Amino acid sequence: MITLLNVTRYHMKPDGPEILLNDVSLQFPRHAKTGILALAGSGKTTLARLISGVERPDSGHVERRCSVSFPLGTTLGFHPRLSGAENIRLLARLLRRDVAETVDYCESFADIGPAFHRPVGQYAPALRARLGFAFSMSVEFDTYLSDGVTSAGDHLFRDKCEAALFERLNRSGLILLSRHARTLNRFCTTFYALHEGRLIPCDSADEAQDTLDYAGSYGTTFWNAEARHA
Amino acid sequence: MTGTLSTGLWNLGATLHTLMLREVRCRFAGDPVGYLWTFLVPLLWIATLMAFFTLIGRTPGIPVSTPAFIATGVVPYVLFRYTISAMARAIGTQRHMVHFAGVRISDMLLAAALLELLNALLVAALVWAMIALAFGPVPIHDPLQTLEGLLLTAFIAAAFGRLAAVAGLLSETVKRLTPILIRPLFWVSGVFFTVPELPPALPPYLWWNPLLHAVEVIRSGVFADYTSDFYDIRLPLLASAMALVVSHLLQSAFGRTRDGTELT
Repeated sequence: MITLLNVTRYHMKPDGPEILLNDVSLQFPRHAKTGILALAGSGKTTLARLISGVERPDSGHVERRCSVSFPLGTTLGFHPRLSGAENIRLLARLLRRDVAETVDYCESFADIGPAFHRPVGQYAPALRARLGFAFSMSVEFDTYLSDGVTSAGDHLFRDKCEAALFERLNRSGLILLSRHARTLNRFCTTFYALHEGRLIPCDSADEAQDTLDYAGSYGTTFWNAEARHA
Repeated sequence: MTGTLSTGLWNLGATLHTLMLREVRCRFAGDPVGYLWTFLVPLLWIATLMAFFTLIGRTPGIPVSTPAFIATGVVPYVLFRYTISAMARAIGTQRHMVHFAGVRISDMLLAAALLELLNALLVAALVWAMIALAFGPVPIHDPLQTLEGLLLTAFIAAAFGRLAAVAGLLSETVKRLTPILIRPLFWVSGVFFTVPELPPALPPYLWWNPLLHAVEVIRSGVFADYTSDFYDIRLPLLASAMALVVSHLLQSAFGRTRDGTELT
């Protein structure tokens, strides 16, 4: 169970505070698949960082009574001068996982051939993303946290990622923050819309999108309307 | 309770060990000389200073071998300078580790300081072995006091390194100023002189330099013919304790870094 209790977070800007979360209280049950629809710049990443414990709120409290993953598919922990294998080895040690098992899993899942033993700095972005997702899938958590990422790489690899994620979600929960209602629909059963620092409960991802639409969050330009109805 | 504490300590130890390993692997990755640079640079400094001493016909102010005298100044200075740089650098190279296994910024700083202490102990052993091979053995008069001096240097460096790293996380100006402020310490920390050699007007000012006290402790421990009445370890201990307190106060006052990461 993850609990947000009266959580407020703002960024100080020259023209006053920009409120990202305004006195939010919410519980994420351990195995719930929760989707949060939010637009770019509305505080999606900040909320993910608050939930994972990397950032703390300006007021209120975040309590975690289960293991929460690092953001799904993240490649932030990879040092560019180290090989994929070395990076995985060190991260597995840090997470107290079986090093050999984790390296084998990642090498097999990422399927990037000899590049696995080359410095990550030489990887194309797609290879790096594949390795990041492979590492995310190599570690079991009670709740997976995603800042919009549910797969990586080309369409074949994306299918593999989603299959692996669905398999994990048989035993684990998910908190998925995304700009796309369709992504939320695929993975989640509980929905919220993040608007002006509030998490508004919704019955479906479409309702979350309607909520943001109604609030005028998408704007009213022609292309926004086209994108909305695509 | 004891079980929780020992598990916590074990986990902290494992985290620090992994962060140190990561730093060792990353620091000179891709360079054929690799991590050996850590040991080569102090040796080159000692060689350069020896050449300089020979060039200007200078001998140490106390009746001891020149390379041993220089080594007792260079090793603590290098430990101090490298620790401060490594702690500032760790914030950059290890910052993303906060996403994994509850790693805190304090863990990164502690791991960097511990790694530099281990490096300095290895450098000291290596330098002493090389001096013994090249110029004949120089017995260490009081090994415990020598170790005490090195640990004191490590403590001063870790405390001021922590303060500089935390302040650097909060202010870009402090981050840029730190290396500039450290540089003059080479000239005023007894790397190539002893306090009795100085004009009488200088020691009262230099007394406020904690690193000079540590260097004097080390020299009094290494050389049987030199006992310094200058040092007082209360000053470096107090100055370091104050630096630690201020760094913790900054941490709790600001709570987070400029990019929002929790400052723990």
